[in-house]
Amino acid sequence: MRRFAIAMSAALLGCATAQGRAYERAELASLPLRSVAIHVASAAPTESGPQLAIDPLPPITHTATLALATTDEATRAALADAVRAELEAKGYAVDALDAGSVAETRSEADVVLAVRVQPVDRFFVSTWSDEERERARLAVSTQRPPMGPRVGRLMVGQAYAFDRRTGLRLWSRDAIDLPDDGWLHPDSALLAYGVVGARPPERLAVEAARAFVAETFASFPAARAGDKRTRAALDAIDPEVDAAMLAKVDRTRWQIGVDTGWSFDTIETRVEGIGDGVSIDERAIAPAGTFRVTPRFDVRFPGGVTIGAGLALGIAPGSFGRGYVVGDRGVRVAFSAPEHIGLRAAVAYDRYLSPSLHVRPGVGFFIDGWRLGADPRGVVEGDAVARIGALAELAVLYDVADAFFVLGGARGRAGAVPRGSLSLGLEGFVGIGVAP
Amino acid sequence: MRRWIWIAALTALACGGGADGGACFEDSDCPSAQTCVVDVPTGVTVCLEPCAEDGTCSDGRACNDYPPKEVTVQGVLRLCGRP
Repeated sequence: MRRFAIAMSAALLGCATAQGRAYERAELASLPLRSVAIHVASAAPTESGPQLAIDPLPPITHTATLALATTDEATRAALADAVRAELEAKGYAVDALDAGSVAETRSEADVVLAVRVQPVDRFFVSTWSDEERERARLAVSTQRPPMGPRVGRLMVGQAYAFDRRTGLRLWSRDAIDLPDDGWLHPDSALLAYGVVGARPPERLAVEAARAFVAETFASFPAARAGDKRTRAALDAIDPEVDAAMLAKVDRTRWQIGVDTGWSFDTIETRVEGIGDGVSIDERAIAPAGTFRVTPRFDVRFPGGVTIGAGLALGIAPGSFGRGYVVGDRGVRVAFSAPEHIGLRAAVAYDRYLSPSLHVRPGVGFFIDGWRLGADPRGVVEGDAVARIGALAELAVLYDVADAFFVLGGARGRAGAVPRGSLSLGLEGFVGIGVAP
Repeated sequence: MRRWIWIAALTALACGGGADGGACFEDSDCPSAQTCVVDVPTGVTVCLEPCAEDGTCSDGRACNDYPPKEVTVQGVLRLCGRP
């Protein structure tokens, strides 16, 4: 049971160890795309300490000024060449953007693409061997790995493609594979966004730019004739509504709330003192289900990955009493409003359907139990029933205001009690919360 | 004839809950002061009156003791009649 809990915790944490934003509009798959106007900018190179602490550049909107506070012309030129070459290889006609923001352009290109990077020319990579790292991982160690300084160039950057006609964002990649905790190890994905090792400055700029572009634009679609109906569908979208939705998608949101729900679960215990004992189930222990109140905490990362946890406190209303007789032996047992406590953790994918409405399917694990309150107390196998298992849930959230939301949903559970029998549960819930 | 048997059986089931000696699922299905008792081997349930403290039964039936198997288990079931 303990190994299962550790494995599930590690899986949930593993889902949250890389930050970054990736967005791709559904219409992109069939939109006519032939020409691109590009804007490329590079900040002056910086150096990192043992922990890579880079403030990601702010998300690009179609009205935002694209210029950066600092610039590095050699890197910008090398990056512009690499981006142009990549797009031309995908079949696009490429031009430089003629304005300081996407909204101000007079270009006739189908797409406006803005690419901005922050080069990091000195950084640290763990010197632990794979075996040492695996050993530390299995031990759930909090020890930090020894770090060795490296020169070269890592490119922490962003690329946003906008529909030139409407200003709608079509595609974006932003600080992808930047490790959440800032610690780089030899197989960190971020190392592919640049080069490791000393090089002359010109080669450094060119090779790092090529590596960044290859990684960032791997999923960028090739030029194509597309479908005119998709073009018409895109023209019908309200850019302001769309921008409001994307603003929520782009930022990390902490959510604190509470939900209340009613659950029905298979629960089993045994009445002792007669024959070989008699099994009794939820029809006696919680005949009307369990009322639960769950304070909840969720973090929605840019892109939609959400991790959350909740502590459920509940009670199974109603009472039950019955006598059991086997031959000339008998006992009487009663249950009165058994109490429930449960802990759950889940990872989910949050998807906005409109600027206010979003759905959140997820999976996770739970551990919970009931204090049965049997009377007399010693007549059942144990006064507590505990179980552990996996859950799947679907929540629908509605943002009433920017910092206030309501939600509703359902959650299914499948678990095992210590003796190994299967336990199933289904819960419906509604709740409220704030997203400060 | 067969139809009347069904109607009689369903009526007995519908009206039996709460009646003295009738079928039950739990104590609340029985008249007050009675308890629902299940004969585990057969699964038959019936409402029975617990014996008075002095071991007598108000309806004159015999008081039967059903002690638990282990002494650690509390409570002796004392019932007027048998399930």
